[in-house]
Amino acid sequence: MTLDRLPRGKMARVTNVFGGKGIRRNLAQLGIYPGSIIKVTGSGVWRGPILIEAAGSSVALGRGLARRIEVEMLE
Amino acid sequence: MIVALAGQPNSGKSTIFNHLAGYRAITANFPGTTVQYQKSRTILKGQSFQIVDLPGTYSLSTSEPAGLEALRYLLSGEADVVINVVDASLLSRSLELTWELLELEIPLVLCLNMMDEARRKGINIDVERLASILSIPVVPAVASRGQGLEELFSAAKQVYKASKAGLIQNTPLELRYSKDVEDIIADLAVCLRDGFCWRPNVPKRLLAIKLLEDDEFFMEEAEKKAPLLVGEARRLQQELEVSHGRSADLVISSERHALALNIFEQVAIVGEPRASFREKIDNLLMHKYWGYLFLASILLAFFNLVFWLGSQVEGPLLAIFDRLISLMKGGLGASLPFFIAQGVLQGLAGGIGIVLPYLVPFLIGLAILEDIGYLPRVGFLMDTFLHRIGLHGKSVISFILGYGCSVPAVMATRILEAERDRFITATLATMIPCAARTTIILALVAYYISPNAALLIYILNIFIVALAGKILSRILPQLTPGLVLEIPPYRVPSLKVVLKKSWLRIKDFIVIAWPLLIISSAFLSLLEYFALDKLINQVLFPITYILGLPVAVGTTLIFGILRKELSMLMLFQALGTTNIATVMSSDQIMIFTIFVLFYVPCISTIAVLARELGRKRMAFVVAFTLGLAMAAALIVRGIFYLLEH
Repeated sequence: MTLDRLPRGKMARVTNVFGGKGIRRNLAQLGIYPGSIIKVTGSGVWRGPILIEAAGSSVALGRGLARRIEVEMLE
Repeated sequence: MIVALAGQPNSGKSTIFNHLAGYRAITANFPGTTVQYQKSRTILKGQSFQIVDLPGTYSLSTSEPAGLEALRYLLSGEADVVINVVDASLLSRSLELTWELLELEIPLVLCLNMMDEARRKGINIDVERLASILSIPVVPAVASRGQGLEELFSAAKQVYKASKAGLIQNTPLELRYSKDVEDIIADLAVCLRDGFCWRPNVPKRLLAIKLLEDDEFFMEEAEKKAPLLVGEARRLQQELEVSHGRSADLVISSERHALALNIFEQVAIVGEPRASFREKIDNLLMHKYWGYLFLASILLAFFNLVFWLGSQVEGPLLAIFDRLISLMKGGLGASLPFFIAQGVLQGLAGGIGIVLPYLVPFLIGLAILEDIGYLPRVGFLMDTFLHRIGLHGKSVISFILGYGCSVPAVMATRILEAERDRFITATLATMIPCAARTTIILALVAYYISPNAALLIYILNIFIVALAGKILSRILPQLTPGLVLEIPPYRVPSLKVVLKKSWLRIKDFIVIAWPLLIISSAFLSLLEYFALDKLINQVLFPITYILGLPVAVGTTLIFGILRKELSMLMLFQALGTTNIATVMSSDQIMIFTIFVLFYVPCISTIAVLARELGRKRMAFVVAFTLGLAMAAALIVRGIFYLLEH
């Protein structure tokens, strides 16, 4: 599933990031790359951004970007 | 000895810099505060250093302006030692940049900053183990309290001595890619040795890695300087892609991720984080509904407080100056000395009585909000609205800084990824009422009409900026990459830093704007004495006539381009009173303020726009804002007309 559908409070492993080199690099720098583990901690109103925790820090991600990140939920 | 501070955004480089150099670099709790590097001399334990504060960068990738600027400086060979400042609470992520810095093969020291934050998160770091893995000195520190800085610089000194003695560090064995990747890097490095190297001072291994990563800047250079090499680099990229099943840059970056994580696991023990109420605050302040309520309340309280404080001081002070001027008039009559003295006095009055009472509390309040770390949270909350005008939440940082001053707001657009976003954000940021224009709104509209009318102007401003954003993104349609913004933890602002930072910004008004203000004021007096102001007013008559403003307002608009405050302060001078209400109606005050709010950025902003966007785009911004100011002021005039007839 894609990251924007991950329920709040759940951990997941990133399996793929779709997009150009620039986007993949920007995300990777913040700890979002295939294999990394992230957690959704909040989401904005009116299809606003989501808030995740990656590599120990909090990152706000636009909804459109979150849709390009494929994850698998960890139990 | 020249020491450069390099590290990821918001890792505390400027805090270290300020600790040693006195407060000179603006610090704030959000990523990307430093966009231009600063240098300073300092003496520590009898040794003279030059410190360079580089902009924060997540990696040395040249596709971002900050990364390119940092890499260019580091490759220039100017720095004798580089201190890699790392947020210890984000060690695993930060080690990737450390690795890239090691590949530069320059003397390096690692500063584990924010150790207190790491402990709070339950991260325990084995400093010695880390130093032995990286084979560089590692110094723990808490820069905000000055802890560990002496040790840091004596470590830098030792590394410098060692490098002078020829003990050059090579990339440590632990920091190697897997064998097949290293082989390919070595292949390309050999080609570079065979006369294809156009940058003799850059390590061949680093250049080879950059080319394999398909780094835009270096590939472009190679195409010009060594086209044959590009073919070889592409062939080797292909080779990596075939053997690993993904593109070469991905192969290299995933090895970096894996290794950084591996080192982190070797040196750090992660325990239970201390239960902190800071996270709980975010459940409220970033909540999908409550968050907006808090945002509105915080801003409302902020402006009310600033206005209340300012207006307590403005009235009594202006009354004193008024009495002085009328006393003088009695003594000197309408002679030339009187005109000059009156001009100077009004310039002084403008600074003390009108600008400073609002500017000081405003800048202190803004500094507190910045240092707490609230601005990125506003970015998160506003993202969805900015999406509707074709931007995203990261632009909010520019907009909020714009309430302080347009110059840093335009510079902060560098943290945006897309050029188009930078252009639109910079254009819109110049239309946000900066501290100077805030004093106009507060001292004219709030003071003479009502605080609610001032609030109305702010709301109208946001509405018009949004509309302008919509227009610009229609002209330049493109999908923005979307929001990627790190939200730093809340920090308790230090009173000392807040005051020093505000002082740095207030000083800017006192040493640059105020003298200009006094000179302009005296100059306008002279113009009036020789009746030259009439000429300027005549030239600007079409504008003042259409807007229904007194003709004498014309000259003030010219002065406003120098500094925005001047357009209001000159108004007192041009109309010959410190009580505007006697010569202008409330409608006229509103129309004047709205026009001044938008028309043509001040001269410093024009200069920074030309530098950041180029002259053509700067000229566009000037024309665009002038047109918008006319339109907005006319529409407001029309509304007033309809309401009253």
